[in-house]
Amino acid sequence: MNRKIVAGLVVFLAVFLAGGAYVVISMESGSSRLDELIKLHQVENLREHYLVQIKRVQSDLALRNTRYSRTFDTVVADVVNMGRGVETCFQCHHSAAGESRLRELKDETEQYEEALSRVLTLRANESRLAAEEDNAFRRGEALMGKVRDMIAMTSARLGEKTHRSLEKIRNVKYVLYALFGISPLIAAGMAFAFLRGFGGSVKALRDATEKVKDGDLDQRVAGLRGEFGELAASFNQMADSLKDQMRTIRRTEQMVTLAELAAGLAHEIRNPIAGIKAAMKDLSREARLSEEDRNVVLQVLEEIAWLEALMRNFMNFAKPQRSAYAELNVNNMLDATLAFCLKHKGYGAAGWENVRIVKEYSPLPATAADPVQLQQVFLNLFLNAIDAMPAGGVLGIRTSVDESAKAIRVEISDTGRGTDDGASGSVSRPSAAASPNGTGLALTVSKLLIEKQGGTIGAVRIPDGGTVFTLRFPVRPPEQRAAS
Amino acid sequence: MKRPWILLGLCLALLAGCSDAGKTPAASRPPGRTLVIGLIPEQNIFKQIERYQPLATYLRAKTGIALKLKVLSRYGNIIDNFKSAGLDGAFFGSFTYAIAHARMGLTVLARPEDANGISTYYGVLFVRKDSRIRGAEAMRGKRFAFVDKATTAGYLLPLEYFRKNRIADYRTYFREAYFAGTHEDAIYDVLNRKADVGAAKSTVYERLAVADGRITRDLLILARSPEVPENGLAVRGDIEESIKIALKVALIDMDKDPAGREVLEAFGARRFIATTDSDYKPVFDYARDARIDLARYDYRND
Repeated sequence: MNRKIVAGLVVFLAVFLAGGAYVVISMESGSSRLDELIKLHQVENLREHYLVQIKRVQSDLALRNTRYSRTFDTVVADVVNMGRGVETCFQCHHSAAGESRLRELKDETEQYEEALSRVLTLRANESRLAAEEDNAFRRGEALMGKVRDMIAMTSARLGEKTHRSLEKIRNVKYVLYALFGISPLIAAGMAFAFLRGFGGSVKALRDATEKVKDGDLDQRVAGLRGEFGELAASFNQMADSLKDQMRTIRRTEQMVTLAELAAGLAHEIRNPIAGIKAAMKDLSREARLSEEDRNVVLQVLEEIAWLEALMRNFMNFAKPQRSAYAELNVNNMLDATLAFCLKHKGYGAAGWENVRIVKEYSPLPATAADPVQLQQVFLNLFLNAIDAMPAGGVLGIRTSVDESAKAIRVEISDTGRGTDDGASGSVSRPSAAASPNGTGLALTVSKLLIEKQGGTIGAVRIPDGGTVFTLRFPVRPPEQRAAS
Repeated sequence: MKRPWILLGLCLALLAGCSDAGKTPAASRPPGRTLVIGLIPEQNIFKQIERYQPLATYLRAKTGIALKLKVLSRYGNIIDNFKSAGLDGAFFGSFTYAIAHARMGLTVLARPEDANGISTYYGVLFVRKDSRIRGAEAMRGKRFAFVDKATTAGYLLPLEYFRKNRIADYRTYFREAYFAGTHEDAIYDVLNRKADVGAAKSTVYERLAVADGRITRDLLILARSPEVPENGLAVRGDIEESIKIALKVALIDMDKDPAGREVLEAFGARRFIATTDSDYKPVFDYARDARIDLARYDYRND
């Protein structure tokens, strides 16, 4: 848009300057032509005046020795004025040819003056006087003829130049009229184009903003270009982000509600469970109890243990415990958790008999993490994998280091039936349980715990069967424990 | 008691001194007025005006005295115009000054000196080289071009020549004798075969010879007169002395002033020099030899 504004301004300025320059040049040219015409008129007037002076001197000569003759001083003054007349012509600028013609004129004027001087000063017989007077008169007539020719030439040039100048001035006038007519149209057109470009884009953005404000988070802006296009892209990103955040907020609200419900339920159930558990333990130690009944009691105790674990998960989900970081090696933590599971095979409904464990550990750097929470996460994922493989399968455990991201990557895979929704990354809802016996809460708790440690967890369903959970959490140097 | 009187006297003396010092000397800056100055038709009368006008302008700038130039159709008119047209002065030819001085007591102030330091001229009597006229005898029946009866070179010289060559009456000796009016016309009349013999002043002859090579090539000088002073400025005797002095000083100092030198160059002179009646002695002698009574001489052309 900036480019458009600048381009528009440049075009407008160029048009304005071009128009202004044309007007200035036209005025300059017109005034020059008028000036030239005025000068030509002046030249014509000077020559006319000069002709009148010559005529006056000729009449002085003709009236000489008559009763109408003018005084000697008057005649001298007339001749002097005539001489000044031709001198005046030299004050103007002339072409070389014009200068040459003027010099000829001046020479002839001087010859005429000499002849007149001769007539005025000569004292001789009548024939000599008459001859000198005739000579002077002839020179005067010749001079007048020459001046008349020059006047005719000047008049012709003046007429021609006047015609040409008027024609040019008329053309300039038409162009100026056109400019005066077209300029407002151009300005209005440019203003309309700008308003349309700006106004349309602003209106689209304003409408979209209004709709988002009214709750339509699916509103997007399309079809804009340039800076407005960039603004629309930012707006769309903002709307996407807003929509995600709204979804998260809603889910969080649901989770909080659920957690409060779960915590309340766990609190209410835990005490009776504790009483039942104590009673069952006492009963199991009863000597009179038959073996069959004892097994039943022990089975009840196992179920109670499962209920207690379930209660703990609820409690953790509702109110996760504060992290306590310690230096550890993730490979060791995996082994310790796996050993715990194998030792207490009661964890996991399906049992571990038909499960083959495949470990692919890469050397991992020591990192600072909460060992209890990390063990809880691994335990949840192991149990989830075992539950997903009731008929047995392969539990894969792979670790690696992502050097570029400075993160530890742990993949725990099974060859079971996969997560319920089969979508990757669906470990955030309690319902995403892999096991038909589980509540799915373990995965959600695992996600909360791993995120508390700055990590992520995702799940990918394998098309041939099974699921791969991928954990990624940052490598924290041990010295960061305190800070963490 | 004497001290205050001495101080007062000193103050008065100082005031008097200051007052004198502040005054413009009458001689150097006279009150502005206009003098009508006549010009004799030494050459084409319109060129004559062109030649003298810058000089008049310069003198007005230097002295505050306006000089109104009045060109005359003939030499003798100067004498008439002093009486009828109210001339205050004129650039006189030597003979016209001699007549004017004899009749009206004019005062000559200054005259020009040319680039060679010469402030005099002489008259020349000339013919065409191809005319075969080489003496008075050959002039019989020819046409003679005088300048004016009031000129030394254009009339007195021929008269003296005629007297020496025993020509009693030129009117009958020549087929035609007329007055060309200007030295320039007399020269050109002979050159252009309008006349057979002519007389004119040397300065005009030489000036024309520079401009027109035919004069040196085609004309032959047969006689010349003694040298007489070049045309000088003379004014009426009753003009205020301050004006005479101012004009004289301005003319004589022209060559010391750059602007004055420019005017002098255009005028054709190196400087103006002071001139007195004694400088005209050759003219008086020449007139006397020609048996002319200046006080009664009829200067009107026939």
